[in-house]
Amino acid sequence: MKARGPIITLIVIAVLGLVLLVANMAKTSKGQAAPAPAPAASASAPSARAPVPVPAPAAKPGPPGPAPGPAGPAPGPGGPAAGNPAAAAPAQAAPAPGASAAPAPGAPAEGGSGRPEPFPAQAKYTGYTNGNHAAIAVTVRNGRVSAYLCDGKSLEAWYQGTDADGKIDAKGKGGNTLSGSLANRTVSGTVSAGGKSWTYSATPASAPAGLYRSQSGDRTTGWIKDSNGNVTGASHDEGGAVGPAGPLDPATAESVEGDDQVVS
Amino acid sequence: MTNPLLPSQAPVPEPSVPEPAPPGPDPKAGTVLVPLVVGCLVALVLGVYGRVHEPTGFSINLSGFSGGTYVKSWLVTMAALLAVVQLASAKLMYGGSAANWVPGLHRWSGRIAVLLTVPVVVHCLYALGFQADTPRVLIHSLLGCVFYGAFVAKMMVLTRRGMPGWVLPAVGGVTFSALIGLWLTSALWVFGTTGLHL
Repeated sequence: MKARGPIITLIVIAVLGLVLLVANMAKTSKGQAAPAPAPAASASAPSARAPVPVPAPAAKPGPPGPAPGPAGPAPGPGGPAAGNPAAAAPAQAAPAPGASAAPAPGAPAEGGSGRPEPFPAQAKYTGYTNGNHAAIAVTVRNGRVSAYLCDGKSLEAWYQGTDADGKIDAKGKGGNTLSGSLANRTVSGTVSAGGKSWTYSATPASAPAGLYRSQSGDRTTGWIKDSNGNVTGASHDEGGAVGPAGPLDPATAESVEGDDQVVS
Repeated sequence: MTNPLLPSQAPVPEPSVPEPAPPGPDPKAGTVLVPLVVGCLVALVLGVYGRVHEPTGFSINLSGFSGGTYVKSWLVTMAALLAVVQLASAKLMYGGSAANWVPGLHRWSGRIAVLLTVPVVVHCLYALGFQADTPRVLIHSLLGCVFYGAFVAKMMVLTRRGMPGWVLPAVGGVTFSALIGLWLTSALWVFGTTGLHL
């Protein structure tokens, strides 16, 4: 009795942990399945690569045990979906981002990893700082850049700037800066906020992924939705106090484009 | 005169669990060693998983709270309160004159405390990972690994007979200290920076 109790306790704790972990994985892979059309749509621009991204998300849910469950049915509707509804899905966010986020038509060389490529006229990128301290979204339109950094808890910063020759240079309040360059369709660089800086990388995002913002009263809230459907948000009031954001409500939040004013 | 202490204890993987300094010919050393080694391994595995696994920045959430951070903060706060119950009930048990419900209280408060931390650690490991960006975050990450390692060691120590008397309080003390440290570096920090509410 005395000898078994603690072992049972250990087992129960371990099982609970595993169950939660698996539940998370299942949920995440579902999350990936839903927005999958988005990356597929943007990635389909460089024609040669089109087939690649489709198997990729499908392969990911593989490892966890229960994932084949949710993933299993997916290929049914998903298989055909990859082709047609993929185009239809973004329709909900119909305004050109789908098309505009196809920066690739020019498809500047894949090999030149060190060489910055020029930014497309309009595009959005989402990603995370290295070490995953915070999410970042960079949007460009007609040479202008709006960007947002946020950790979902207590850190956030908006940036405004320009892009030229494949490089972005933006500034926020209080000496916050954002720099980066585009290579292999990925924006990477350095971002600083509140006296600290991080390196980051961000990949093309098409609706519904992107950057959202809402203003109500003296409170400004920003959300970053990445290509997997994960949302990170934070808000601040006029006093500058930062807190977690409420859920992203597409009805009230506006999608931010590169030439929108985000830093007053 | 040689100093035997010099080279002996430098590379202990888990600094919080002091090993018996003079590794004398103690027949019980083996029984102490196994739980401690397993505990160290658990701590190591958690840390490595947290570091290697690509954090998702995302995890399933519970309703009724203003956000995932607050769910975690309150869960760990309850766990920390139960840890205080642990300390008090252990003191009573070691005092010798404990009422017969005290051991039960000790066992169940401990079980519930650790159960409460499980959703928290799953979120931490799955969504955030092991991080070292700031001292607070680094300490929190390390303590998280130490806590579960110490907990596993303590459960294993309980099942073994013939342990030296100091082992159980020592391992229990590390478990308690790690949990309180986790609370200080997470929930207290959240309440202090973004306000005390649900």
